[in-house]
Amino acid sequence: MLKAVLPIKDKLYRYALRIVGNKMSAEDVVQEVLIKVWQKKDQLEKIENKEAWCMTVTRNLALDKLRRKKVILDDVDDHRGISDDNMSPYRALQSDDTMKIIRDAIQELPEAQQQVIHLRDVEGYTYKEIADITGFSSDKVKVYLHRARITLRHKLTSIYA
Amino acid sequence: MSEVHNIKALTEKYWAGETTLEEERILNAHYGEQTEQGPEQALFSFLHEERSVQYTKEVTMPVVRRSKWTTRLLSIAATLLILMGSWWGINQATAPSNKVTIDDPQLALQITREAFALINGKVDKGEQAIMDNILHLDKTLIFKNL
Repeated sequence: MLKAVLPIKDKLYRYALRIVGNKMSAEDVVQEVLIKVWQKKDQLEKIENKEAWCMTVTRNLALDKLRRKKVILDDVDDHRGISDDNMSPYRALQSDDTMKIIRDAIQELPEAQQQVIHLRDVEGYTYKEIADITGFSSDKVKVYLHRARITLRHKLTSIYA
Repeated sequence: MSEVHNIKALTEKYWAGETTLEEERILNAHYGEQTEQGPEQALFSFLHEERSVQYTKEVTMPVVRRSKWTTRLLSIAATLLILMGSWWGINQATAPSNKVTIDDPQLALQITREAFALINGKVDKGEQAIMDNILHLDKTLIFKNL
């Protein structure tokens, strides 16, 4: 059972974090996903794409948590899980302000667009996989991604203009 | 020069939401090496950082919890099983036995002879009954055309 979940636990956590925006709540979601997978372990063998199924469970639980209570957002870098010591060369060039602007810009996107841009640009899923995870049609996934990128481009271009 | 042109075209495709995963990988690699700051470099830097976020909490297997009612029912079932087992065991130990023990060899021989004689009589009676039936059968067969 754990074989299906362990390799993707970071993906589950990041997706939960994207939705609930809070480290502790995201950890709770991952734990709840584990319990759900454990309860359904007999049916898991029949599921063709286990990763997509786990991501869908994560999405549903995270959205449920988000609706049940208004989660408190952590400090900007609290939930990133990386310290300045292992900052990538990529990151070193960017100021915290820029990172915050991008994070806030994504956070301000409609929920569906946030999820789609996360699943595509962070996790690298295909349109079909995103459609399977979110329940949106492939066409809607493309539309949401397009809109999300347009909004981000607009915000980023205004910063660097 | 054509490579730069290609990246520019790919970047436009990216913003329009039309790039493939492979093209997005090319852009990731390209902007990862760039020192010049700009919207794309900032965004791909952000995405790179997002990918490095890890779940650091220990993964624990969920403990199987039974409801109070299940636990109670299981306790009652176990108690009943023990009680029934004990009752059956006691009954077996105290039940009267059909065994007869004869210590006198002569008496034992006499009883055995009587038993065999009884069986012999029964067998004789059975044999006679079969013979009677066969004769009756023969007569019906013999005189069936009359």
